[in-house]
Amino acid sequence: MTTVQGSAIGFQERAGMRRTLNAVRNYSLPILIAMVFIVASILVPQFLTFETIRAILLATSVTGIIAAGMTAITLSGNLFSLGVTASVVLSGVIYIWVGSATGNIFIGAIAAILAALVVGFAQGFIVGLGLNPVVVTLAAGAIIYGATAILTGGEVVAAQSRELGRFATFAIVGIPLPVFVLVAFTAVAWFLTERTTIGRNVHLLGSNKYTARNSGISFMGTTIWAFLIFSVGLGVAAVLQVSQTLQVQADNFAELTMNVVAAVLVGGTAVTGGDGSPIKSVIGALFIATITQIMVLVGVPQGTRYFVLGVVVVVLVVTLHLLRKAGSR
Amino acid sequence: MKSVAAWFARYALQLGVLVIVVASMYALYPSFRVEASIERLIPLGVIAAGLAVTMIAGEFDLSIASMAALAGALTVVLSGLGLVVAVLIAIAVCTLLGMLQGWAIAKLGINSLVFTVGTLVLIRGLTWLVCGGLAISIDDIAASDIFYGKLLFLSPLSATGMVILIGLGVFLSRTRWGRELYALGSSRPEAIAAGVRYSRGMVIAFGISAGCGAVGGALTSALSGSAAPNALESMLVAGIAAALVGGISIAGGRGTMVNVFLGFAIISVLSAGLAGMGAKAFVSQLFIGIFLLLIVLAEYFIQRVTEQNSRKRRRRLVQTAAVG
Amino acid sequence: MNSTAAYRLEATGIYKSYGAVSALIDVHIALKPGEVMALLGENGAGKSTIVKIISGLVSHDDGTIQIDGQDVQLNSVNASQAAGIAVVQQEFSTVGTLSVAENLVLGQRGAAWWWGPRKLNRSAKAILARVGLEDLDPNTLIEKLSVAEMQLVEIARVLAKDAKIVIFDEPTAALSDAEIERVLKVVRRLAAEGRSIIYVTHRLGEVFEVADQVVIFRNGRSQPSQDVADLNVDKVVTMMIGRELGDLYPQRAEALGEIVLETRGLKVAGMRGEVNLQLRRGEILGLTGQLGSGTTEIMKAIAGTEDVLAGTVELDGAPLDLQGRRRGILSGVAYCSPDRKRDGIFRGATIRQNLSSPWLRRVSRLGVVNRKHENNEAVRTASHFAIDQTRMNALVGNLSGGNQQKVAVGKWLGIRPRVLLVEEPTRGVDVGARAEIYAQLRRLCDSGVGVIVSSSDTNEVLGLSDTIATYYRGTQTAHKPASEWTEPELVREVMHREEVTK
Repeated sequence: MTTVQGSAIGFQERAGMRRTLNAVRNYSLPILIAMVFIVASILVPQFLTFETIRAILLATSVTGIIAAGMTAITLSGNLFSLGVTASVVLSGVIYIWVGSATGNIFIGAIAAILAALVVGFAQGFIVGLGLNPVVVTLAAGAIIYGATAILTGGEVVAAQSRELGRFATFAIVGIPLPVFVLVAFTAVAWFLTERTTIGRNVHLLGSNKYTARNSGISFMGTTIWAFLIFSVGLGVAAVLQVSQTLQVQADNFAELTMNVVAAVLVGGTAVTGGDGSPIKSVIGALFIATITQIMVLVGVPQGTRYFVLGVVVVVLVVTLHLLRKAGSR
Repeated sequence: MKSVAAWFARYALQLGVLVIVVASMYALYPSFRVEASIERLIPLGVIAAGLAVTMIAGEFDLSIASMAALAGALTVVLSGLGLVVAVLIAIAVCTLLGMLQGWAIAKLGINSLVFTVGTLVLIRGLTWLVCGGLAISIDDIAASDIFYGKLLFLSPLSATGMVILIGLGVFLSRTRWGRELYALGSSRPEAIAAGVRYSRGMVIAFGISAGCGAVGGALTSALSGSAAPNALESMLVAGIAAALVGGISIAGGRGTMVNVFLGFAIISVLSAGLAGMGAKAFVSQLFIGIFLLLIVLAEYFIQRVTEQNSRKRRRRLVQTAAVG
Repeated sequence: MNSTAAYRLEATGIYKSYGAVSALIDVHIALKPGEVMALLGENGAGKSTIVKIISGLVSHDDGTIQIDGQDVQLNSVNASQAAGIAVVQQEFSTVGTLSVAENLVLGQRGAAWWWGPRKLNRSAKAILARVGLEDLDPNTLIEKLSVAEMQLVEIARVLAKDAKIVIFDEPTAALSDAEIERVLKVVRRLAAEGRSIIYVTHRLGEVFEVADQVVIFRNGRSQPSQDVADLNVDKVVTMMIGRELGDLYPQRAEALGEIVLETRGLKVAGMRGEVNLQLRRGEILGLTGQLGSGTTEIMKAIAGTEDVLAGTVELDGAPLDLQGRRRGILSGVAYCSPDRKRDGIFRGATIRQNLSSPWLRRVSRLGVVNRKHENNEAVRTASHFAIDQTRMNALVGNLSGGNQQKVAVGKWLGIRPRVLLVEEPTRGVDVGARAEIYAQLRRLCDSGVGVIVSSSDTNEVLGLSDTIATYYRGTQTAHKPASEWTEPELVREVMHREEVTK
């Protein structure tokens, strides 16, 4: 007489295993970065220098701020915004124009953030109606790109005065301002998503949108808030980026969207929603920036860097996915 | 006669838009030639077709443009074996890669959007490696000549594109594996419960997607005689736009190759016409974006109106039943 | 020397548990060729679990299954189909965007690779005629069919499979009398062809019309099968009732307050007539009926998640806004859905976050959550429901069914509701948690709230409610105080109300 085995592991043991797997999933990336840092410090001569660390942090700041903001959208179950590049260009152009016209970089920055908020609100509203976020943000990206290119005639928009670069050149104890802004924005994004009713609703909506509806959580309202949080990050990052280069053109930042999405995924935020944090996405951006910088130091050519980055993203995403699956059994 | 009318009703929105776009182009740009737009079947049409297949199966293949670039690079690198042979090998290799991708997605149970974000970078990196970091060219320029010339009004390339679209159309509407893709896309748990094999569906869908991308990239490189590591990057967004504007549903389970062709035609006529009028590339991007948004909004509102009408109908039935 | 098995299908000693809940205990089913066996029993008694096991959807913890004398491992749907088993499920399993003809051949092993419409339609027409759908165009997409047509196509799908053992799970929930007759004819014909049929239903009339044997499930155990010829309705009803009313249910209310909720002329899709209900403060009103009776449509209409075709609902004398759950919650109407996994709980969120989800704004100021207030209120709810207060950070998805249900119901306390609507309050819940949920529902009523409980568990409805309204196939059949019902009467009312169908 054959018997079919039920689950051989008891209830309690499974709970313990679940906790371990989830802990691994949540802390693997910081540990991985630490390991990479240690290995790189030993093997790569110029790694543990102030310049290198600063370059890494600077490279992380723009991608990290956007990734921290995009996490709100991903948490709400609305996947990603694929129109990052276009909005950053738009905000960058607005920053230079308004900043030059008023002679005040702060007013320019506010104008840039407002521009991002307006287009972000529109997208959030349409997604809130129920339309697919991938399609909406892709379409919006194309529209914004086209409109910006027409407005600028496809030409480079250059800052006339070096004043506009102050946000990038200003430094405290040698650490440039963008890094501080990254930390500050991440803290704000974390606070918004963890400690406010809006943030809680974002988490719950992403966790189960049907239960959210039955609990009185508004799909439209929560989605719009997620897009607004994201848009602030876009505007801020655009200002910081353009401050560094002092010019912007419609075709710039082509890879930015994919870099940000990769950072969010590698950071460990679940694409299905309800699980993740802006801090994780910033750590994801940091990890990618670190790996890239190490490869640059070692002299790896661009193509191979690309390839290695692709392998890293695939491996990490798959591992996180498997850990999540095993940890929810 | 009823089925002809039904056919028209199904594609009415896209046909209407296409007619308007073609008419506008002719009005604004007298020397406009529609046939020239067909040329873009390679690569835009086949890439849109590949994207459509994965969308119908309820998935997303963001790596298709990278596959196209890889195929182009492989074609140039292998061109010493004879251009046609090189093209065939490139397509075969990429199709196998695509099938591997589909198998991995099925076995891991991972979201294809997430997975192909990684592979799109990875395969682009592979292309860089194959190209050696530079744009590369075929040594024998004359070898590409067989790809020029015309059959009727179609070039060998666009004829190939048409054959592929028609072939995929038959596959999707008349074969068991094709129909199973629709089942997996619209009602996956029910399909699997009925016995449809999910991993086979994924292997087929992503294999076709990569194959279509490869056809687009390999033939483009064969025609131009060169390949570059960052080639065809814009084809991803253009292909998605073409598929969606044509009426493929991003939710899965719906859409045909006729939709793909109509979407491709609208986007292609738009771009070609605008280019002919001297507008820069970003103007057509703007219009593509607007069209995409308008079409998905239109479909959304049409769906809401039909739902409201059926609700009103039910209410009226209840009231007449109460009275009668 | 083994004798040749006389049984087509024999399942022996089947056990199945979900965590702490035992779904099946030592179940035995033996089916001969050409025999129709009806499985009867209340919801949760084990019928659907044994069906899922035989169809390969779920694995059993212990026991054997033999087909034609051979041991079989029904580990998957494919294995079950390969063993010659076909199932007409309760939930529809057709693909909406494919045609009827395509659905009939979907997933069949050994099907042709070319699906030309003419060929498919020809074979489809033949099968459709057997279920009375000869006028249906096989090219029609499934999503365009009515619910009744979909159910008949489900049955047709099974006919296409040529299976040795056919299981029907509630095949007539959405059908008219004529269509039910068709289905029964199909069942008889299949049996005449020598196939073995398992027929799961709540409608005793059908059992007596078509079944040869009856196996009654009670609390996870199967009773020895009986010949239908030896039974009548009363005997069956008596055998189905198992539990003593006992200590599980709290005392009924002694006095009821004024009317808090009233429906006037309410017409909902799926119901035949009007629904006129009255709910008083402190009252537990029980709505009971089986699948297809209309109870769930009524609940959803009052909750605001389903269309109201005519009529009004009044809360404390004023018209209730039925435009969705948000308005309902603001008015003080709480609603617990019957399927907590689908839309009743947040599995990836903590107990505290789940408990606070409908009333978060109340413990927040300027948009920032006051975590101390949130925790206090959540802990208070947890103590009422005997949820372990040290586990407030545990993810609800990891809890047992009973604890999940306590969270699903408990979170509504915080909105200070005037009316609480609960569907299937103890589905998949162990006895201990059930008692706690019942106690809390009664306590809620004592504080002046009106509760409507909709449940297909007649024992639960009888024990818990002050007033009971019964439903059968879309019509309200009775509305009396609970004290005027006996359990056999109640079971009979929801399972065998033939007068309604005329």
